[in-house]
Amino acid sequence: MTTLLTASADDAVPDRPPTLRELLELLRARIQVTPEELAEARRRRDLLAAALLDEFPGSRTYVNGSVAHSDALDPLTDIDLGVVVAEAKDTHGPGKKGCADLQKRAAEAIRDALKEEFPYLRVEWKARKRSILVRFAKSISSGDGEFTADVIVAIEHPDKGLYIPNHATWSRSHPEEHTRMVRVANKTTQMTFARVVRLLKHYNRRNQHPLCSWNIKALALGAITAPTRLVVGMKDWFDHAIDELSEGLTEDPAGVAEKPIALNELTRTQVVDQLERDRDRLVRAIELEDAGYPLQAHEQLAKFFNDKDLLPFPDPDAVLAEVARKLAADRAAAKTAAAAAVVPIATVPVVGHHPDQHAPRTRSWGVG
Amino acid sequence: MSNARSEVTGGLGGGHRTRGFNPWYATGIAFQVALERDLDAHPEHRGLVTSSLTWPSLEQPAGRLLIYQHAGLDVPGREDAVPVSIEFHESPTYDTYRLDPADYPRVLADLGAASPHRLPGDALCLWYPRDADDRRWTHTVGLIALLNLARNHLLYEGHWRATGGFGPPAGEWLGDEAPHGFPDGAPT
Repeated sequence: MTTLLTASADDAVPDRPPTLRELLELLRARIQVTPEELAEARRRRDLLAAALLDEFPGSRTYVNGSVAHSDALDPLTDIDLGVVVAEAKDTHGPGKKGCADLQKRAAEAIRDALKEEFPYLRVEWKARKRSILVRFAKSISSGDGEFTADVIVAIEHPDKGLYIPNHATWSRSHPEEHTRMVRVANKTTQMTFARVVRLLKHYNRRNQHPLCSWNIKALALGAITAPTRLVVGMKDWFDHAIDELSEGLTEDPAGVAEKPIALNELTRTQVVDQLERDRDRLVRAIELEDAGYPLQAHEQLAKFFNDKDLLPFPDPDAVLAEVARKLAADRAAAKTAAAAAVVPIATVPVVGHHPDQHAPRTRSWGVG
Repeated sequence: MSNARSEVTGGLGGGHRTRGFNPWYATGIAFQVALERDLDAHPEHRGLVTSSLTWPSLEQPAGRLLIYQHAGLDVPGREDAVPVSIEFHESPTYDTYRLDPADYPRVLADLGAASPHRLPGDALCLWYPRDADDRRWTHTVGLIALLNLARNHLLYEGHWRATGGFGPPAGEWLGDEAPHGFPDGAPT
């Protein structure tokens, strides 16, 4: 599958299977948003920010989410923005006014400011939990996908962080600190943090979304603290995530939110089971590569991401030939181990890479 | 059943109900403990194995049936995980070659695939019934070992097909093989 590595017809194609590092770099490039998409998303975000600051003079805006954190995936479908309304500091909040009037004003201001460029713009704020949803009805890329913005109308908390809408009332959060923490992590790790998070978000969306994006990043803050190989960073994240989620849900890394980060559809036990299963697959890929079986390592990585379009599988016949080679080597090793009474004599290795398991040494048979 | 999610299906109503309370190897706790031990120790299988107990019915009149279903086994060379079904019959309608039905379940996967080692009904033929206990699978060895046998067998089949199948020249079988049939024509 060396063609996987071919960027153009003129490029030199290595005469060997791709390494995990090369495959991850390839996938990372394929899921990364283009500079043009980013520029257009930021332009629209700036339009929204200008509209909000016109409506709420003396306020400040903040950025959040994947674009602000440098981990956006292609296709880019949304952007996040917040405004901290200065005039509402003493009038709104828990025990005072709810968020409805501020959201209504913000929605109308956005509609008025952007309707000329985006005539089919829709702004929804009623019956939503937190954000005002801005539907541009105009993609930022060549595709047909919709592009939206989540706009939060927030007020200052007297001590730390913000109050953000929670239906008609308020709850605590600290999105500005979240963005600061992620940006520090990106800088400290020389962008390994963002690259690993992007790969993990792609894994997550291709495998039933066990976690929300923010949960992935909150866990990554405790796992990826230095520059490292992508595959090692991913494994470190799985180790940390399994440890943390085995104990409980992930707490707000800014230490502000009243509740931990909620899971999507699966229970915590199911999420941990899935993460352990997929971590094992990642470890198998690393160990297979280290042992000199690049095709099986590639296959395990492709199964891990579950995306045949962006990370195709190696040729199955070539994999089978490599499996046969490994099985012969494993059998020879098992014979040596049996001679040393390390494993029971009447067992055979399990195909693939399951060094802790064996199968009875049976003989396949047939009736006639 | 502690480690596999279970359900009960089927049934012919009151007339057969008392039969369900008669002792049967597959509903015995010793059998289940031996079979399911270590299932939860392997993340690759945890949460993916379900069991169902089927009562006698018009379609399955010969007795109760305990089925373990693995949602998808990872087999090298296969892009998609392979579902595997393991059936323990109270009164097998297939030949167990005088082996205890507890030690001769039907293992079904890849139905219809070309293979030199299948039983009537397309079950995988994983061992020679006349071999000694340590060259066969028995329920005391557990489901993990049986799933690994099935995984190896499916890989052997894939490699055999990729290298020629029925041929000529015939494909290569990577595992040990016993000659088909019995030397004297019948099991002892």
